[in-house]
Amino acid sequence: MSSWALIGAVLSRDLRAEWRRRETVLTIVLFALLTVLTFVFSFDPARHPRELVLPGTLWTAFFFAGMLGLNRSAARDQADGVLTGIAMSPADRGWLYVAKIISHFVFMAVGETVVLLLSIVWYDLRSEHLTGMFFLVLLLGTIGFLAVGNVFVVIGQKSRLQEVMLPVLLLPVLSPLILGLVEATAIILASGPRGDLISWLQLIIAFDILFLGVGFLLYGQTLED
Amino acid sequence: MVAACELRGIHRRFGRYWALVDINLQIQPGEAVLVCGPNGAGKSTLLSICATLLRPTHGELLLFGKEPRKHRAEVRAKMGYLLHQTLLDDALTAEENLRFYAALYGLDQVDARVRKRLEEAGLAHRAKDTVQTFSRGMRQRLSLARALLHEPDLLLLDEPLTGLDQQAKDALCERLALERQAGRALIIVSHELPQLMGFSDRVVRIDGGRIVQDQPIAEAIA
Repeated sequence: MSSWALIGAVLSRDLRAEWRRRETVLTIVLFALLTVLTFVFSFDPARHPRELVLPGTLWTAFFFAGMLGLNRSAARDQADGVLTGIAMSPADRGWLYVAKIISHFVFMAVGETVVLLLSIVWYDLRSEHLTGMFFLVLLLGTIGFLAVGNVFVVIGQKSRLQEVMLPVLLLPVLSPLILGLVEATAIILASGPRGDLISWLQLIIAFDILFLGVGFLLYGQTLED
Repeated sequence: MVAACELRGIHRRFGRYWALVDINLQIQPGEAVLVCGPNGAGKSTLLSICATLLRPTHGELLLFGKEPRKHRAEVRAKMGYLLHQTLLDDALTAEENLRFYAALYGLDQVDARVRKRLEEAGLAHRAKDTVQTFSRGMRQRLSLARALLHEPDLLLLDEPLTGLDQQAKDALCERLALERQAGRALIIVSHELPQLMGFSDRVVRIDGGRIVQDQPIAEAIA
């Protein structure tokens, strides 16, 4: 079977099931919104410079909401036994991993879009902030998060602590990515000299490539053991 | 002839508890083996090892003469499973579930296969309904249709009759007898022996993690 057909089948199944349940996306959107709202109350946007507060706010909201989304989706797969069915099939594990990243990317993109729309109002974001570079950082950050998250969520679901395991495993590994994303986003939002932007982008891209490669090779192991 | 499933000196330990001790068993192609025993005897552990869901602590498992960890895709393409969980997504329709598994197994002629299995399961008229609207018996029939979709040579069944009414049990046994006639090897773990003995070749009784009886059905009945 071609890898494209496998990706298409998993994507179609995940999106169809999510459309009917509306659990994962709703979890991501609600949690991300609440997180940003909490930051708005904690750091009044009128008194704190946008480029200092917003990068951390956005990435905290996206990653914590993304973790809840990953856990919700994996718990559902586990409850139905679908994950066992997938694990016991002869399908290529690497391409299953890619398919899972794409479907979770769609779920997270919905949440990120809602948060960005509201940030335009709350943080007075304008067109000069929402540049192609801003969206590139958003894309790379989400991919990096999902590259690691999709592996660790399977490990987490197999442990007794389940939901607790994902942040415990994930956040330490994500720390260089978070650092790079917050710094790169701050430089873009400052609309000033680009300074170290390229260096931070290189760090983010290197993280993505490394963990996509590791995940592609190890996803099968996490399903099996 | 290469055995469909062969266990050589299989031991399995959970912590300090030995769930299986020195299990030696061969299941030939086309043979139906009934595995029985009291609760906690190790039946489901044995099936999980045969299904490659659990690794043995010691010993060797061969499926179709091959080591499953080294020939994972090849071996799994020949195996079907009916477990406690249905492995079905209840937000998808019966047809969508089968199509999803057809994709995972890389099958061709998907339309014809799905239609055939839904008709055999008596669910063709509910093909477009989501699984969450199905009764326990209908889920079990659909789960068997899923397990048979790729025409496996070895079918593993864990308590297939649990939770079914008499009519559903009869229908499931009839389907399993047909699959047995079609040449598939069956390993059935169950407490409900009388109904399953009709089409089984051997009965293997496990107690305390050990095989205490391995006889042809005719001798076991006598």
